[in-house]
Amino acid sequence: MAATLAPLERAEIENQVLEVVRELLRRRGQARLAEAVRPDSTFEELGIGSLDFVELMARIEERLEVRLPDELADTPAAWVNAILEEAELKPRKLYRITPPREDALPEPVAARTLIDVLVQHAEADPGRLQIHLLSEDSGEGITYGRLYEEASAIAGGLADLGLRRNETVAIMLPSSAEFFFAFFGVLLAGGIPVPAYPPTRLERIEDYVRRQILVLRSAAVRFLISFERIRAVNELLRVSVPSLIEVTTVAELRGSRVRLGAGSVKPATTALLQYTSGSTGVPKGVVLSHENVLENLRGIGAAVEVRPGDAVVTWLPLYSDLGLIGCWLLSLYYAIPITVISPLDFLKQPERWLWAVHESRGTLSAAPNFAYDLCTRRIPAYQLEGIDLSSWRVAVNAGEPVLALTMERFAERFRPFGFRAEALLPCYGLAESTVALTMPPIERLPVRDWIRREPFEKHGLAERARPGDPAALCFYSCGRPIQGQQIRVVDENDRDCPERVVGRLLFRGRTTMQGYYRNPEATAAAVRADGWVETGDFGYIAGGEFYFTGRIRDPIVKAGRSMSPLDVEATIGSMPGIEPGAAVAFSAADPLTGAERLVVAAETRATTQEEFRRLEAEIVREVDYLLGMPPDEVFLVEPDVLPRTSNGKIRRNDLRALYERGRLRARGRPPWLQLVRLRWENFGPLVALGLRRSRVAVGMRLTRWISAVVAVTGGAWARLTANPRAIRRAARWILRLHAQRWRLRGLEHLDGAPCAVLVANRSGVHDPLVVAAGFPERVRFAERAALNGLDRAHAWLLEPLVLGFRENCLTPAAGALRERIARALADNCLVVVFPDSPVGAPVARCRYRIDAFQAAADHSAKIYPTAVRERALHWHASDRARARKVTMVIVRRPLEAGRIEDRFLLREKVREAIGEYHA
Amino acid sequence: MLSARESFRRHGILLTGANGFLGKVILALLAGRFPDFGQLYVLLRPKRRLSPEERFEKEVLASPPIQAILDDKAARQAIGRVRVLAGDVGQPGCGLDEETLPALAGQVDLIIHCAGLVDFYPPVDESFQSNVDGVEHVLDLARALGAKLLHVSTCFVCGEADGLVEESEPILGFYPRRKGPNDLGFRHDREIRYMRERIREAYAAAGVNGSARRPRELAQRLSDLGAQRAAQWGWTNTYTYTKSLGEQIIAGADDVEWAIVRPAIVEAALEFPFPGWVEGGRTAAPLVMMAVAGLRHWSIREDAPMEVIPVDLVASGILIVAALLLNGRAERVYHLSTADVNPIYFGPLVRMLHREYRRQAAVNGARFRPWRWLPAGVRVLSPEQASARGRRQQQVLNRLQSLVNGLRKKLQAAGLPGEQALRNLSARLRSAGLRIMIRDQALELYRPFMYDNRFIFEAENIRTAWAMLGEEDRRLLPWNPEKIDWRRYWIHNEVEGVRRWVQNEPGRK
Repeated sequence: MAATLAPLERAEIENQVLEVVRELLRRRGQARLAEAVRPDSTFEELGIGSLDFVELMARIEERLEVRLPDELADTPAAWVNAILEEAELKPRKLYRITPPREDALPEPVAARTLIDVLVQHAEADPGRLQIHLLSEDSGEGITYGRLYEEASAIAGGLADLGLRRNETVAIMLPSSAEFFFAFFGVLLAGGIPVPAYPPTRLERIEDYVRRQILVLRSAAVRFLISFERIRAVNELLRVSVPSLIEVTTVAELRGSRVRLGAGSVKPATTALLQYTSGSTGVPKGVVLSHENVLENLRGIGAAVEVRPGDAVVTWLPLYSDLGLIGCWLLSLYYAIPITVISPLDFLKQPERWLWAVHESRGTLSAAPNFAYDLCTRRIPAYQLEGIDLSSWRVAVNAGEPVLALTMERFAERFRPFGFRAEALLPCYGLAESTVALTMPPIERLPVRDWIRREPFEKHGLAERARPGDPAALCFYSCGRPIQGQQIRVVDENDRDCPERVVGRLLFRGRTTMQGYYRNPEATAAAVRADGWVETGDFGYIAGGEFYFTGRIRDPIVKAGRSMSPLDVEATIGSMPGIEPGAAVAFSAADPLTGAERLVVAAETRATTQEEFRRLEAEIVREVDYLLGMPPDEVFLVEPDVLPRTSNGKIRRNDLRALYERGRLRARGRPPWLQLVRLRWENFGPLVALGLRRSRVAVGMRLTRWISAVVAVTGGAWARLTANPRAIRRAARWILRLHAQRWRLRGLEHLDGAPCAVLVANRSGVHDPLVVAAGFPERVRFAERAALNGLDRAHAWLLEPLVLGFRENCLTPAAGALRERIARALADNCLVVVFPDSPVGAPVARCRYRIDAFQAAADHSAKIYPTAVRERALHWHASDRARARKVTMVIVRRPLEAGRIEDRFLLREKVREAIGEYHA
Repeated sequence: MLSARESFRRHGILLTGANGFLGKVILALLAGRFPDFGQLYVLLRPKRRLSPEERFEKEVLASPPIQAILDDKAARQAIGRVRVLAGDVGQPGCGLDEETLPALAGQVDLIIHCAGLVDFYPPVDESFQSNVDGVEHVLDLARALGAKLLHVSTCFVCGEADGLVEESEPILGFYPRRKGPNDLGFRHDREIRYMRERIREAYAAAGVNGSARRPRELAQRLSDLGAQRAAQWGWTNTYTYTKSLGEQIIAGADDVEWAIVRPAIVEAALEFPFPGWVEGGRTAAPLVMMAVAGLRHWSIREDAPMEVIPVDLVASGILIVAALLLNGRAERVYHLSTADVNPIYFGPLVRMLHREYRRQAAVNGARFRPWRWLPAGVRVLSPEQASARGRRQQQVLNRLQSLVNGLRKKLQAAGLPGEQALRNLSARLRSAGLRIMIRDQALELYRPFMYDNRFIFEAENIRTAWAMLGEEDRRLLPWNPEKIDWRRYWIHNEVEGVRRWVQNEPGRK
């Protein structure tokens, strides 16, 4: 394989290796030596000792993501050889994607909410794989059953925290299993999920946090589901968003033992808030109902003709509408598998996307234009060896203007690997229309329209250009509106434009958003009284199909001309020396004079003055060539300085505002300074939060200590006096300390019964304490398993109530247990049997030892099914420690043990009786 | 009252898997304690130019448990009456030829099926062949012969669990993540069809037809396939998944009288044929050996019991159930386990084994290893901590090794002595790294049983069954897990047994 390797790859690896060596030398202050490093200069010459080898190796391994052999070379060139050999032997991935199944689940046509869809699939085939999650070199499969189960655990956790119906919960997680669980967890709990984007680059942290605060405030989120690693960000958000009660993690939510199933949700209920990526000012949350989402999914499904055997592949972030609805929810709805890669992995190694298509036999995938461009330019040839893209039948290109060059090059580059140009599908959509609005028919070569530049720029006319016109502009057809949607293109006076005349695009239909969340002004501005919605985009209609030409505020307006900045940006963004895609052109008022100026800003890694001058000159020349006028100003800035949206587009309007206020800076602040600035601004609230936390922590610890002391005292007293009253009193104190209340129902059934066996489920940790505190003194626990999960001191307190505790046996022998229960029944005790199952297990999964039933039958005692349910009492302010819980204990009517012959059947009946209450 | 002796005397029994660890003990127990049994057939597969008879001679008769009972004349004669049948449960009709089958009709009243593949993560087609197809074929055979079927499964078909596992759990439609008894999300026939499809696809994708030798790539793929599928439903590994499918096939049969016996982890013998008899490394032997070799860091749930059961109790339990089944009085499922009456918890267990290691280290402490005198206890880590620790150790070793190699190069270049010493050092570092890798892999394999889950298997039915036997039968077929002294058992039976019979090391006196 090394022979077939393009020389370029070799050169690149060589460069990287040399760069690592140079870095090391520079760090040691040997800059001169660093300049002189060549592939064949020996390490000895460079004075790199054996100790540095390990360091160097580690760095190279880290940077190139390879593993070097232990045998060490003595020149960088030898290392390069070793790496190339290694690439050849690279082990295959461990996780394998099971290919999509031909046996389809029925389309959930009757489903009226997303929850219906999940429940229907999860019940029809819980073992069916829904999501393949690929990470670096491993993967994970998530089935419908697991998705439902985990989601209900998270819903339980949210209910535990006090989430109420229709409150918003932001989900700020990277592409991981947790995201999927959290999304449906919020829905099951009756909340509204708000996908928010997690921070990706430390260099932009300040911009990110400020932006995120705006989003969370606008959404009035109650809870934020985040992850542990970004604690600094979490805290800042926590103090800056007044509505936010708690920042939590999936692990914490899962820790709750409550499970919530599907409740009843109306189709008009909000399914989610989709924040527009916000290339314009204040972020706006698009409110989408279940009906919107389902209608849109059905529309897309009809357009791409989803069939069994389909499989979706996506690397799109899950907070974007295209990734979330257009990919994941689509695959969920049609019960086809989806393979998910993280966006960061894709950006690092674009070939992972294509390999995922190959391995999963993917048929549907979507991405914005830049992704296709990235694949064309950045994937080295040797990474594609053996790839087969013939299964790919729909490659949606949406979310960004579609560029002719990209589409052509992509189709051409990947044709040898089985990719068909017919698969490319330029589409148009926006969050306000859920996700998709217009789509061309599938299995058709993308339709291009060449139009003349002059009339287009001057009068907004899309006249066909003569073939070979060098200045012609090219636009792709985005097809017709999907089923249930209508579009119109209108001029300034709201009159319908004729064919081939550029105007504003309006749409209406069943998948139209409900409005912007808590923003009636913006809603009124976008949604007109007659139901038509402004898209803010320009385009024209030709042959019944829509051609997108640009956003409303985008055009560069200067000297009476309105020009599209797209070409300029694409050209400058691909210039060597400029960060890929990091260029923007806009017209703005001069900060001093107010005159209209054409400004170009671009990010570069260049450091020297000469390079700056060279780049500037080149940019001026390019712009002059493309637009016919030179830019008035060129800004070259450090990478990561220009403000961006969540999906990495430059926020042109914010940039313009910065420019007009004269605040555009050439270099970014270092991350630590950004964090310090943010912290300084929120100094007071942060300190207050810290104090409150520590107070709560101290309070919790005190509570534990005091209750432990109470328990030990009570336990000792009970042991000394052999009187269970002390236990009862101590238990009551402990429950009071933990703010746990209890209610007992049906105790009257026990009146007059000399002895009884109570079979209970276990709902919360403190259930045994409640039993000890609330029941008559003659109550006893059948076995030690009743104390599972209790604090050690509490378990010690209750131990004397366990039958045969003096025999000091952890689990009594079966025969002995039966005897003990019989003896206790003869002593007129109430024997409580808790399951030997995890605390909070659903009743159907509560497991009881048969001995209690046997003993009850022998003694002809009655068995009382007892339902226990612990729940949060009322909504609490902000401190978890103050959460008040109430435990309900309901003793139900007894079953006659003697009458039912089969004790196994009896056990089943009792379980049913407890379960009845819980249902 | 029910007589086991009488039942075995009057009926014919066919035993599969007689050459396995458990099969041999069953055979020995039957021949040693009930030498007047009516007729006993043993189904064996020819292998590597050995006929079934030769295999019986070499692998069964010559084995220590059978040898141990041959002193008794009656037992010797009884073993001589055993008839060997050539067959293979993996083949349709159990691979019996045309003459044998009619000859057997009416002779066999009970089939004890204890052949199975016990690897945790084998290529899933192999696992299916023995644990699913095998069961189907044996069931067909039982149907053809009009015999009853006693199927040996495993307690761990329950999959994920935390706490008690009931015997009365319905078998059909069971999968570990099932929410309630009425959840109909799982149908074994649909599942088996689905998996066969996947296996066929995997073969087709690799371009291999059934008979050709399987490339390693494909084997790996099949192994992953089984592991993934098992995990999806909540089973701990491919073995328990396929075993559960086998059980469901039997539970679906209403024209054959059957009982399922589920032993826990089968370990060294308590008394019979002699204390400490154990075979094969598929049990908890690797764990035990790691513990007594001084492993200090464990990721275990301290309050979870180690559900093991000595092999002689299993054999005796199987024969008890066989006697009941022959009399038509057997329940459907029997757990053979210890923890519901006499649990040994992981926390105390690993501490005990560690103390044993230290005691031995003190006894054979010929080499000077002063760190042994340090007070060192067992530390319990979470699996994440444990694997991070393993990774760190690997990293350090790797760095050290490359350092040593670099140094060696230097010395070589400079023509200085000491190169050989460094080469040795490097080799030792490498092997230390490999040992750590093997250790971590083994611990990962056992993780579902030590950390993720807590198993206590209800063994009520076998107690009831035992109580139904007569005085003499109860002596011959003991069921007394409550009497096991775990300390004695682990040190004297298990550790010494594994040393002696698995590691081939002479037992220490």
